[in-house]
Amino acid sequence: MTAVSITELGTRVGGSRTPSAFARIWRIVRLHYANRVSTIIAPLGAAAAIFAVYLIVQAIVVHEVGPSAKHGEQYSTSLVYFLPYQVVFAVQAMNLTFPFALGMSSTRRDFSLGTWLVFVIQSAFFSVLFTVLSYLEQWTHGWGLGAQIFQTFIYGRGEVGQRLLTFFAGILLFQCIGSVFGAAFVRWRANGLMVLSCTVMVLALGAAVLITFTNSWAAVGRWFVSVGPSGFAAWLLLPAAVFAVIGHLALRRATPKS
Amino acid sequence: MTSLTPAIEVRDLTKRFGAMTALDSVSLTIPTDSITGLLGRNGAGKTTLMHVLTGQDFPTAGEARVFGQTPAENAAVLQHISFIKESQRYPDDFKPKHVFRTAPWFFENWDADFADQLVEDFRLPTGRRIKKLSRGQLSAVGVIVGLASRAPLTFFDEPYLGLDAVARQIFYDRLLADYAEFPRTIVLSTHLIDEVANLLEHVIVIDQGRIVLDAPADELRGRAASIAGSKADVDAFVARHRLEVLKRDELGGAASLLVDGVDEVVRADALNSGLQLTPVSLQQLIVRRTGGALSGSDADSADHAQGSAARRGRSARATEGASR
Repeated sequence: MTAVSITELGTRVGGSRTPSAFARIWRIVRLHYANRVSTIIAPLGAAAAIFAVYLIVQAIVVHEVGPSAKHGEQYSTSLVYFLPYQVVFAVQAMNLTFPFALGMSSTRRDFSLGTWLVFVIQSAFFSVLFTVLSYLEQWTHGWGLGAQIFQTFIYGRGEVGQRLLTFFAGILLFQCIGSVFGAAFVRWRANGLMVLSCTVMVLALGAAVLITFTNSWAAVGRWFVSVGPSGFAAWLLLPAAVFAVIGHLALRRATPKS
Repeated sequence: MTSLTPAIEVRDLTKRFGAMTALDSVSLTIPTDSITGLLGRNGAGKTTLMHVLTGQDFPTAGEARVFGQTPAENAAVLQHISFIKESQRYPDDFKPKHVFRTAPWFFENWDADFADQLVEDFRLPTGRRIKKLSRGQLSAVGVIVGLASRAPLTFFDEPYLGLDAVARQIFYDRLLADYAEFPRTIVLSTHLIDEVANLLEHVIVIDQGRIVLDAPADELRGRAASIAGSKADVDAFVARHRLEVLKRDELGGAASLLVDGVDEVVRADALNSGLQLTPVSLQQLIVRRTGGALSGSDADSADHAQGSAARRGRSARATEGASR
């Protein structure tokens, strides 16, 4: 007994073909952006809030201590708070849209790849935005307050390419980490997050213990110096890719929970 | 009716969730371009079956084929499927208009005018956040997507929770009218059996993960009847025709039996024997076949073990639902 073949069906319903892989992935990207609040407004709001809080604190410091305080702020970590938010962003994006995408008869594969493409787009957008702001900050002498939000060491202060790469790799890495947590949550709910968090903690501690016991901290420091800021940023793309693959594989067998 | 081969073929399909068996070696066929009722009690396995058929879940064993292929992760099959379920989740800040704007990206036959008309029919506020919609309005969102997507294979899983009688009638009317114009395969799961009885061309009844009925609706409608008369006459009649007794009521010397397996011969004989034979509704038949049957009549010990496992699974799922 042979069933209606797909091609036969296609001609019956109006000469339809399966959309190309890219078309199927791109509609997932559009789906994420259909809800502007969580993909555009909230991330911009988070960045703006961090920016505002830092400026206010800097204004207070300048007012109290005078402009000399800026030397103590050289290694400001203010924008670092934007990174953990990327994990939240990624988990939300996956958790909120996965059941709906499957309800729209999307495959997990297309959803995963489309979501990953959203991460790349987000990272690229914010890396351009932050790079522009870093130059504005330079030209305005730290927004008139001697503030260094977008040009501290960790985010890059070099030429334009280095700044773009550093912002891009940093944000993408945390979104890819978020995709692992997101996939774990979608597939195993709270239990998945708990087990995953413990695993991450054990691995991080294990690495620290290993480095300490082998007296390798100096070597680690030398490595940071030798690869330089751009090299370090480029290296971040490697773990980002690893996390993206783990997240993708975990999502392939997930089922929408109600 | 066309002579197309089946849209859905399921063979020995089993789905387990831990110790709970949701589907127990299910085999069935659903013809192309038909409206099939998938009926059964809560937790019978209807939703699980639809989840496997729409690729939302993976079978533990056996085979499910949709348009001749395995549906899971198969974009070529899934693009022809629209699955509307009561428990569908939407992105947090979505409004109905977002749903209707995104749906055409996924369903190539989407008819925006039809969707607009349905929005008016159901008086759905499209600019309100989905979280703020009433249960009935939420159901209307699903019903509209299911109808306007015009997918060659459309599943409605309890599509009208909270919809009032008028809205349900609108759904039946629009479904039937659109189906006549654009024939497709529709699988409808519901508890309101009598309401949809006239819509259905094929009926599949599932209970505790097993298929207990699978037949054309016309055949089922005449199949069950109640026979009333003197106890001796009725018993002799039932024995003569080897009818299956689903329910038995006695009062003094009189008996009224609900039986399955009535055909023309039986009907004619009842007339000659002076027994009163009245057809019963599809709902009556199904209620009696799924839990309302004479206890212990045809249930072996395996059935009992199966049943308690299914019940455990159900209560686990209920707890999960409550904690949500």
